[in-house]
Amino acid sequence: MSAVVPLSDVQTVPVTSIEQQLSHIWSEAGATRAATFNLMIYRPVAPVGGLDEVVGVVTAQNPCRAIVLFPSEEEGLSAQVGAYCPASGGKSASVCCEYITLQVGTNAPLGQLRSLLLSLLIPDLPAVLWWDAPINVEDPLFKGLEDLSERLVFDSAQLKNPSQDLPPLADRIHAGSSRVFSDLNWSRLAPWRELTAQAFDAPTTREALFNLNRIDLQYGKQFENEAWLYLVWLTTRLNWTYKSRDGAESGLLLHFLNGDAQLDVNFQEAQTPEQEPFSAHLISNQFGTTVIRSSDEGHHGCLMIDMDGIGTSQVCQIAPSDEHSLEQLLSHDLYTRKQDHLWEEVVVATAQIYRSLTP
Amino acid sequence: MMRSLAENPLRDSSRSERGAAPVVMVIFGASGDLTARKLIPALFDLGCERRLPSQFAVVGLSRSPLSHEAFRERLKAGVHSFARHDDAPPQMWENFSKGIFYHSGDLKDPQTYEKLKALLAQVDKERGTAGRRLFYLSTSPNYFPIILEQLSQAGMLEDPETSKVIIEKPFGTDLETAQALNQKVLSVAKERQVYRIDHYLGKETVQNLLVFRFGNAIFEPLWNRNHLSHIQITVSETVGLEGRAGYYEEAGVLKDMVQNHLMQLLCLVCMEPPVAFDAKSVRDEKVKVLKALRLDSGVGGDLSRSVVRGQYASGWAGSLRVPGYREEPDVQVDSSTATYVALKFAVDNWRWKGVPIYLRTGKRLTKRVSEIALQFKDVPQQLFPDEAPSPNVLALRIQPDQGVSLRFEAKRPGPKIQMQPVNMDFRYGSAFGMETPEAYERLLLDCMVGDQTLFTRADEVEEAWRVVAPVLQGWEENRVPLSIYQAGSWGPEESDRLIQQDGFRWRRL
Repeated sequence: MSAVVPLSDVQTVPVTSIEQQLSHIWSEAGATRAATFNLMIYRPVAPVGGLDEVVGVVTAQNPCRAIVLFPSEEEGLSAQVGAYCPASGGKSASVCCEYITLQVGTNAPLGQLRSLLLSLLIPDLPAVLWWDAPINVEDPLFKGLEDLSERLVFDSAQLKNPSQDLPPLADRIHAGSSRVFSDLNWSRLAPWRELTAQAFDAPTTREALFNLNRIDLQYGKQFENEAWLYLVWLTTRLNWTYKSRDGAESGLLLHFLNGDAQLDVNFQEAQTPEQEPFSAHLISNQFGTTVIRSSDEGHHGCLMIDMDGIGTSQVCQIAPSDEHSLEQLLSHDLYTRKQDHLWEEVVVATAQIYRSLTP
Repeated sequence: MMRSLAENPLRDSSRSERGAAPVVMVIFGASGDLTARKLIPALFDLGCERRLPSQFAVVGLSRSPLSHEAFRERLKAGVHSFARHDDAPPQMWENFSKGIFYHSGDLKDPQTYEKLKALLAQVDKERGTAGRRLFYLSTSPNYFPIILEQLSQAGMLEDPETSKVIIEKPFGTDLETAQALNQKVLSVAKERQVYRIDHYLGKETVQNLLVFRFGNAIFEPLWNRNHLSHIQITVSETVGLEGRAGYYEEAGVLKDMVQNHLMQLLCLVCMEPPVAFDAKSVRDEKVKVLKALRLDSGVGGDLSRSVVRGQYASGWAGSLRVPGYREEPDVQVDSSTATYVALKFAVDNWRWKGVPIYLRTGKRLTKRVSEIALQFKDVPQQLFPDEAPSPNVLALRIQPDQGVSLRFEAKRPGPKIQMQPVNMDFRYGSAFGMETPEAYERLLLDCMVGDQTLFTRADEVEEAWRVVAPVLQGWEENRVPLSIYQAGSWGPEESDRLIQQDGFRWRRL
């Protein structure tokens, strides 16, 4: 069942008549309009069959004015306007949101688009840009939309060529942008970071964390970016600094330093076709800790602690599957008001490693 | 070398910033409703959101003999009915229930505690709970001193760093018994080990009161005698006794609701800004309010000018005919237990001098509503003589429709000046389309991480009892008549008169 129901028929209108049409909808409908922020969404392809399901769920949970932009083969700018209410509440009992869809033609002047968006953003409410496409910081459209927003939500898992695309983004973050960046890929990783952290809450296992000497990390083909974030998160939290790499038969053998101590990381793509996103084996002098993330039904995460000579304990914690849904991740990130300095640290450190890996 | 939880460098990164250390929670009175309906579902929900440590276990203790497995099965039904994550995959429960154990025994028998110790040692080994204990006292209050003494005798409260005690309400039945219980508690444990729980403080909207007041600049300047005429706090229930006649006949509405829940709400509304958001600072400010609080009976001290007590007669709950209080099972036919109370308080400090605070709460009322309403003074001059503007009201709704609304006057469209009150409304459900955690989730987690801010301190409990002591005494001496009200109404007429004597009216909720 769809999360929202239309309050009125979607109308194609000239871009100069968007507000007028919205006023008409609200005066006719008798529903309550609500918006706590502006949400601009850039999509590389047009939504099929009206409102996108994800956008519907997100806006039903987070009232806002949604402006969806996508490129079009048509000329100039054209707009569609509609309003939707949460399906659970019905029109009378709910607060409903308005949706503006803008088709951006190939020859549409960027200045005109910016001017239109400026007029459409509800004053005094934050503007969030969800860039649902691979980021290229030099793309004029990206720059133009980014300038209009206080928060940028994107997904580093979508980067086509992370070793090239991530460093410029890291530079921009590192330069001290006042904009708040939210990476859905980082949020997706949160349960697994928490699982890992929990493993070292007990004083007995904590010591092992400070005596790590090897990490074996395998990742599924499409999860390389996520695996990088996880690895660099671990190493930065533990004050390991990247030093060098060696060639390995498959993947990378990375070396990190912390004072005189060295940490070796075997970072490789899994050979099995149905590999989970990643699995990491953390090995210390005293005992090994295995953290496994699996992506099978229900998104189970299982964490095993093997304590040589002390005994073995195995603790499985299971993450609810909806926690990984795009809707849930977005709902969380839309409300992020402060820069996540940890993510910033990880992105900058990852970019440094990428740069040193690039010949 | 031992390191504290805070020294786990990976914890900085956690989305749930507050990590709980490994622990076993021991629930005394585990066969009771609270365990199945509230505690275990709350723990399960915390587990689903990975807010519990991996090394976590529950040991239920009660008199009835049960196997671990039978106990788990009993709790599983409660989780299905009452947990927010009732649709979690079956593995979640399987995983969680592996850490649940049961121990039966007589609470007065030292052997029970010796065997408990042995079981806890075994749980430590199996679950890695590292000797940390959280004792939850959820039995009849008569057993609290016995359990505390036995735990102490068994050496299970010795280390304040690894053992904590949660004590359910009611904490005493009057000032003297509360003081005696506090003495007992503090003879076997340090105050920093003790968590006196009032689940009202775990409610999101109650916590939002603090954010609303101290996270916004626009309200605080208005929050005083210069701008407010009075404050109304309403907590109304539609339910009757729900099988709790034994407890309620003893407690009545004053001990059941006012001394704890309503006093806490009043404190949060009236307290000064704390110097920090930590347990000591917040609780210090709440105690100051209670110390300045007194019944406002006016000159002559006629208690009936500040107190109304009532008891429901038969009537209606929605479309259902319901019996009167005295007709309820296990209630004395001539019972004088109050099921409704309305009170008028004064706070003797600079901020609140001259601002009456009215409280009302009762059972079998028209609606289930909890609300705090701050009514503003009238405008100093009537500029629109043909109109009678209604006063501005800032209402903080706790349930059922959590939110905040501000009532003000607006001009009706048209050629004439015609005024109409309108509401500017914020609803939690609309602005945050997410589920609100249960109060017990928040409070249990707070206890595990050692945050006492939302728990009541010894002196706070005693001060709250001191405030209601004159009411209890007045009732015992029959200085306040027992007014009968019809079930399904808004309480006795005397309650309306209590507030109308000052020129105000109860809000129509």
